[in-house]
Amino acid sequence: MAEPAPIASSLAPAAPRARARRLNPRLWLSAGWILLLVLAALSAPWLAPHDPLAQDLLLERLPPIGFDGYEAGYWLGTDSLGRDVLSRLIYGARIALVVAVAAAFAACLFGSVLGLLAGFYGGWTDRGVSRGVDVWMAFPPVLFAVLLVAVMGPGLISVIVAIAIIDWTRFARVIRAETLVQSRMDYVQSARVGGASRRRILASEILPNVLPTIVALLALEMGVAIIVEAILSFVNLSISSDDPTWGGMIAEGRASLHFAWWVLVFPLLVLFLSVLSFTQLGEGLKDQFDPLSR
Amino acid sequence: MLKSILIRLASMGVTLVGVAIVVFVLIRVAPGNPIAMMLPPGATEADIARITALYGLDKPLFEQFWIWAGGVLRGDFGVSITMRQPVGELVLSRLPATLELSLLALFIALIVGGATAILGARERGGPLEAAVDVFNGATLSIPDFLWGLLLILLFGVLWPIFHISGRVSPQLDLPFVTGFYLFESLLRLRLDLAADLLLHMLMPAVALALPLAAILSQLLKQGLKDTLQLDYTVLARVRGFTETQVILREALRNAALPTLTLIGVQFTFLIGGTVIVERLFAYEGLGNMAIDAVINRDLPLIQGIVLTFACLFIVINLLVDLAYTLLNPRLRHG
Repeated sequence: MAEPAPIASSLAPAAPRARARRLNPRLWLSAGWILLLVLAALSAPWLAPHDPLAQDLLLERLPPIGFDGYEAGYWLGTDSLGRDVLSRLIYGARIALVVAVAAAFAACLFGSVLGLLAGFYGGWTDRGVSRGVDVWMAFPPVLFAVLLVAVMGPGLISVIVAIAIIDWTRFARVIRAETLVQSRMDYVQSARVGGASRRRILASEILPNVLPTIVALLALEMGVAIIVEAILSFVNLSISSDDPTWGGMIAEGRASLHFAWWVLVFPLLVLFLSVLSFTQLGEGLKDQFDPLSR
Repeated sequence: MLKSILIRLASMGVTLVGVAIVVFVLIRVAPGNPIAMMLPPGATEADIARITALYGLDKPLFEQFWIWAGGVLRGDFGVSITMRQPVGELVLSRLPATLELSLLALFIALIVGGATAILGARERGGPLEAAVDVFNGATLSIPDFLWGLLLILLFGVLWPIFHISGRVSPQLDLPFVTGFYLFESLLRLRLDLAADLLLHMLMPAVALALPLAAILSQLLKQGLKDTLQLDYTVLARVRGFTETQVILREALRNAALPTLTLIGVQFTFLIGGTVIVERLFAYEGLGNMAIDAVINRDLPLIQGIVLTFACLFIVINLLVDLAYTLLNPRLRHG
């Protein structure tokens, strides 16, 4: 996966941000899709035409609207147990978004704090964190995730904790490098000369300047978390297999690929758009914050 | 230079020990007794205790670790609980399949990434460069798992020209003595077998290759564009070389060196990706076996596989560092 480059490194702390920035269309499009997902997730009980768990063997593998055999009301068809694909997608958005937000924030908090400390204090703190990152990078992440969820037992909390445990390194690496650069800048030196305590310098001088990077990474991480959750549900190790998850739907779709393509296509499309949106949002934010690429 | 290699080797050792400890502790704090799961429902407490003792799972954690670590140092990785075979043998039986797939993917990534970078640099400022940029941007945003699903849909269902599950057609007679089926079939000039293997391997390999191809293309293209502004390439143009010749003969070598480190790191990501991509394509590699091992709580097998992956990652990083030092004149004489 793409290595997010430190973005605020060239940003002078007092740089005037007076010039109005034109927002990138890809930012709007991505934000729009994510907003749509949030709305769908919030209003799932009213929006979903059917119960996402209701099985009906008489209605199994109904094709979507516009195809032969379409049954009114089942817009995107049904899966091999007769469950409504659209309703499952809408309810699946709840799980995907909860995991994306909770896991990304947890990974962000843990990784950013460690990165800030390592970059600012150096010495043994830095050596400890960097060694931890090295060990973590030597694990294949998907296998690590599967292992963690297996250890903690399937469930929403396990998935969130597993993603946070795996992906804190993404934040720690980048924020450490960024903090290192910021610590050497003149404004930090002058704060030091001015008698500010180290903790104060870290909290009120350095943190605000690495914050844009953290925000951009956070958006990228939400995309990663959605994918990891989908992968975990795909190998049937996410939350209970009854709950509608996009990854679980994809696993069903992969199994019944030759009888019912729509069971795979629609969740894949939704997953695709969501990951693309979060990634574009993160990349777009990175560019917005970066004075060089404006 | 020797000193820096020794420092790196020591650092590798520390990382490996770290990995071993993390995995070991992690899978033993798990609730649920793996032995109870593998015995038939009628097994008595005494049976469970006897088998638990057989695998050494009744000893304190610290002691278990020393027994296991001592075994690993002697090349003994323990016995798989579900398959009742030595872990070392099981890992070695699957490792070639994963290595072959990863190397094929790396090859594809280098060709695609290199070609698009050269094309983009040659056509810099034109519509073709813009097309390369769009391709890279889109490819980078999508992880290998989704590429795999998309390829399954496109070339498994809509236009079924590739196989989308397994490593080789089951009805074929396999004369192989090593696990490297593709390399061996090419060496033996059994092109029929090689074709069948490639039809199976191409889709998972492309899914793994695309993200790496895009990131390589991006970096190499920028490197080429920077190099093409330097005096010596201007001189080459004055001497009558065409733009393509200038890129291939003069610029490529200088621009390629910085991408080497990136390829090393990204190649380890690619190998990490084989775990889920193998699962997706039902490819009989190490990653697929790893997921089964986790699902079955096969502790010795999980440990062996994770350690194998960690070794692989660390060795690749070391090789890339060495290659970089050897190829970079500034470091070589430093």
